[in-house]
Amino acid sequence: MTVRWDLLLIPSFIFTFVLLTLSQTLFLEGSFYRDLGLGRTSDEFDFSNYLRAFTDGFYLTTLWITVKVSALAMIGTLVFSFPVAYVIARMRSRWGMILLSGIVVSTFITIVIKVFGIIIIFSADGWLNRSLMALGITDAPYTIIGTQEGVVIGLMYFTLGFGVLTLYSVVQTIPYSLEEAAEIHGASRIRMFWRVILPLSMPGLVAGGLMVFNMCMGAFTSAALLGGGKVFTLPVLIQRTIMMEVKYSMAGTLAAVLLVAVILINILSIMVLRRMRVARGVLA
Amino acid sequence: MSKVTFRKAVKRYGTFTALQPLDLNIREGEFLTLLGPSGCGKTTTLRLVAGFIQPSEGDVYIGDENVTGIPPQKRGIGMVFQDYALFPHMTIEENIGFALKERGDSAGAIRTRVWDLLELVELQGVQERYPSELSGGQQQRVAVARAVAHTPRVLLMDEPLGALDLKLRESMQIELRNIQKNLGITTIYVTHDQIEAMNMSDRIAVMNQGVMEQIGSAEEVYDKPTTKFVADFIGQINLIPVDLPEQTNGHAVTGYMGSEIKVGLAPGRILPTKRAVLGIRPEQLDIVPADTMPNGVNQLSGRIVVARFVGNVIKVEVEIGPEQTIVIDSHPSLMPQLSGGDEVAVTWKPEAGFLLED
Repeated sequence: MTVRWDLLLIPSFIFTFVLLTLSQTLFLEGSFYRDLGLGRTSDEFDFSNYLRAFTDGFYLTTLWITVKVSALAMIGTLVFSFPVAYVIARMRSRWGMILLSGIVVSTFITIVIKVFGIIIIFSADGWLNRSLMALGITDAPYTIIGTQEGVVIGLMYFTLGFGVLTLYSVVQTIPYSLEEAAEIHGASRIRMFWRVILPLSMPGLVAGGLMVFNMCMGAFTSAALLGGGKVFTLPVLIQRTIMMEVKYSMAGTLAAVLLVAVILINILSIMVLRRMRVARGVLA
Repeated sequence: MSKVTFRKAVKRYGTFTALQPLDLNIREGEFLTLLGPSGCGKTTTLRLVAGFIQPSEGDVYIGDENVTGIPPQKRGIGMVFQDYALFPHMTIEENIGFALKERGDSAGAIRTRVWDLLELVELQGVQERYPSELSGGQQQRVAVARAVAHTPRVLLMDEPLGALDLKLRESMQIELRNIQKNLGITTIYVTHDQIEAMNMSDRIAVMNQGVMEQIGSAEEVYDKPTTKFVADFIGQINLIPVDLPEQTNGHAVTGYMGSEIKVGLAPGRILPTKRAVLGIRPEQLDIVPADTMPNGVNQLSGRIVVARFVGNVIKVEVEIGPEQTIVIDSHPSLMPQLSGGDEVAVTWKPEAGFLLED
């Protein structure tokens, strides 16, 4: 008799179905019914929530800010993590593994703790501002908390480790001999980077970039804590709509908007990159 | 085309010395092979010319220019890598034209040159393809074309045929050698395959444990090895521990198990002074009946252990002393007369053997 290992999938499937698929379906279904206040919804199926989401300036601004901070954080994360990933991937000694382990460990420290680190350093009476003012460099405290810059930094902090890990595995697939071949045939380090490393990393940069972007679009903790109640991204607004305004239907609508926006942006990016054919030889 | 010179070049990694002080002159237009087992320092020597590493001491010259400390980009070198290292995201034309583009040649000039090179390596028509669409042998040719596109001063090749199967490897050896001769380009070739080295090279530098043990033509390193390592590494050889030799008019005289052995002495040959071994190639040995009287040749008696037919020759193993067997290449027609356990004598001419320090 053959062993039916596939039966082991059933518990996970039930768990996922009930907690994710079922709850989300109910949540999204609710988005088509009007909120009546205090958590009650009407029985009438309509699109009024969606109409509001796409006409109310506040919701549109929130969507725009979410996309903007996510895109900026993605760029920042790629720019910061690529050199780190490159250096670690090219290390011959065991230091490479030690550094990589350090990045993995620090990546999986909860973002709450990490963001509080940022808050301590950057708050109005944190040591950074006190030092700056004591030195006479600034008169008034400068804080990133409650600013879009702050949210971008928080999101980068959240995604940096994932960026390094993804790009590390990409650089590792590029044989070192290609760098040597470029250099001995006359390319400077910079030219070598532009002509060899960057194009060969493109599939990884796209995959890693989209992953980071998607994480940012859905990030709640870092956006909420560094937004400080002043900067709203969609996940923060959804939480607020549920917990403070008790408008389940509107929250469901916003969740649907977020989901569709993320999917659309991903599909569009891939289509654009396909057209650019940046990586034909690599994918062939 | 330039000569390449090493002056007391040393390469150390921490306490490990990858290359002992090396003095080496590679002539203009010469095909020089660095031959040796892995870890012998041959790749280190090649990479010193490339500029990927710098010597810990001493200098490297290309032509009359001291290139020590000069980065690879500025050395005017071409190189064929073991894994070819073709750029997978570039077409064959872009690959071959890489150095030309870096040098700033015009698109038209690059195109013309690439077409000429594709003709040189007999690969017309593939310029639009990508490396992954070519066979291993074709990729090899593209790698050669890329390495010589900018008429480099020196061409370096790091085991370029290692990934090809035997038949293709043999035809590529001839082809590479022809291309090199056509271009007249100074070439340094690294391999651990002695047949390949002998097939292609003007001179072979045999390396072992960071030391260049001998440099010379294929004939020289095969017929007149100067160290036991070279004798053993190149071709098949019998190494017999013998008594310390004494020199008498034009000959050296030594002994094995009480039998006197004469060894011809080439001029300038230094005799071993500590422990001597006698080297003789299997094809220089003859098997004669045990009761043959010696006649101006060296003769040792022994017993046949086994005779194996391997095609062009019979390999006969003869035990000539305690735990000492030697291998003789014998003509296949003698096979019926040779059987295990037979008492025989082994003979060779004095000039066929050579004495080496153990």
